[in-house]
Amino acid sequence: MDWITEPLSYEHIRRGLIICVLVGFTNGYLSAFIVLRKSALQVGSLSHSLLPGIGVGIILFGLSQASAFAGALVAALIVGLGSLLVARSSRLGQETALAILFTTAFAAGLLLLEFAPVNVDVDHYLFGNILFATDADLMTVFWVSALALTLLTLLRRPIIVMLFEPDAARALGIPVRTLNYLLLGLLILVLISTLQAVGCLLALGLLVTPAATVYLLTNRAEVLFWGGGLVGMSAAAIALIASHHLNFSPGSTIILTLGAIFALAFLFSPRHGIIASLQNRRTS
Amino acid sequence: MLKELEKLPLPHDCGSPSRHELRVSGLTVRYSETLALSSVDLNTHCGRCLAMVGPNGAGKSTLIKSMAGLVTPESGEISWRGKPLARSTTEIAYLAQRRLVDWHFPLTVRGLVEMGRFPHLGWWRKFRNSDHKVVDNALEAMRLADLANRQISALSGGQQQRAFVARALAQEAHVLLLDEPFTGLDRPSQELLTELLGLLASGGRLIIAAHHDLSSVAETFDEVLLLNQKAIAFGQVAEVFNGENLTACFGKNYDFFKDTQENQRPVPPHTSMRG
Repeated sequence: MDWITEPLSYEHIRRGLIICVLVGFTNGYLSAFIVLRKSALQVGSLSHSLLPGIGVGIILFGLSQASAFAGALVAALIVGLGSLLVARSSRLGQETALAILFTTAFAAGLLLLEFAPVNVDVDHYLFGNILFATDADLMTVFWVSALALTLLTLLRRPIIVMLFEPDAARALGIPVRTLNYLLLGLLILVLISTLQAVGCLLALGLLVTPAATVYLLTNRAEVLFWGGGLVGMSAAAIALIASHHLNFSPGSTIILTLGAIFALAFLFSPRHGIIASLQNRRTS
Repeated sequence: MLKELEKLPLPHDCGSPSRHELRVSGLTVRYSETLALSSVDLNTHCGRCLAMVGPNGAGKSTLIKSMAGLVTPESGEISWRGKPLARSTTEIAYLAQRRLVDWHFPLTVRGLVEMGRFPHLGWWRKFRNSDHKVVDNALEAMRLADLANRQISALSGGQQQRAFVARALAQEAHVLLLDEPFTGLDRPSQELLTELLGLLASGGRLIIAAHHDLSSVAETFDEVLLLNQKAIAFGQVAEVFNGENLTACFGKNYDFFKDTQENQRPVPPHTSMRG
């Protein structure tokens, strides 16, 4: 058991592991909504648009967790609402509008960080570094996870009906619009708290891959939520320990581990896997 | 087969049908500049099976959505049992067109039907035994008990349509609003669905369906609304479903047989049979 107790003797790895468990479970749980809504692209845009916000936040208020947080929040809102506005007021679809807005925002963010008066490591926000996380980061992650998981668990029933059939949900009196805004708000909060662990580039992986993997293994939406959480949590925790032994970057290792788990499900899922469907084709 | 079905306990009889009246008066709906419905009146009650017929864009879906509370009318009103139709009433079930449903959603037939209990249970209360019983009855009444654990994409078109009707039964809805329920079904599935809907109507429910296939109106429904923005004619099929009204509804060059043949072209099912 040395391979697991040895890394845990370091305080920064212990703290990193707790963050991995929290961030992994919360993102994995939330990824069920993103997979069911088929909105991975929007989430990708959002995660990229956080970067300029962080740059502006740091330039205006100095280098601190709170200023980065506030900047990211404002940026996500601007890109999210901006894409709606561009899509509504022109002949472009929302997806096109999002792609333009987030690439622009991303480039602007990189430039801003280069010119920031304080020395900011851009890689830190692109790929994150969980081993440099502070106690403040840990508390942010904890409270955001607690809030998101509580709300999502309480509201899972109306949310599932809404995701499956928005019209039928409205006919039953479910406040579809309010729920959508609530989901978007929680998503932004979770994204920001995930930044520290894996950075904004790789946050997308944690917010999509876990439930996408479980999606290939189950026919029940309920399983997608808990399963997504468990996959995200265990992948992040295992990857952190592995990255210590292999001397890899933890963020990249987490995403590669998730990718590998997805590939296994994609190939070997008894119902929806490639191999099973090839066999079905041969027998039928 | 019909006799066998009659023996099945139909979940929750609606009681005296004649008292439950659905009345649409002067309903006008506009989508920004386009007039979708113009001053539509109709008046029907539980125990009836009503078809809405009209050319594409006549406003059939809009009228159904208005009844479901999904569209806000410009003027006019819809009342149910003498009161204005509240948006969220559980007594009315809306069944969207099959092609609009995400069939790959991770959901079993039973899971779909259980959704019908959600309005009764609230947002987080647990299923009681009586709720499970209602779901069982609904599955059985729609002949889906054997398929309860199937993923919804692994059903035939007719089974998918019946699964949604079963959800409406689990919801204990009195009024079923169906948008093109027969589209894309093969002949045996159409006949089974016709039988089952007829049984539900005779059990006291009100069935309202947007309908395409003019040749099957008489065998499936007892009332018909001929719609083309305005209500051209409304009443018993035997009385108002005639050449004169159809011509008024579908236009001057309307040719009943030509149109019927066109509508009977087999529609390829849009979902693949995976599972």
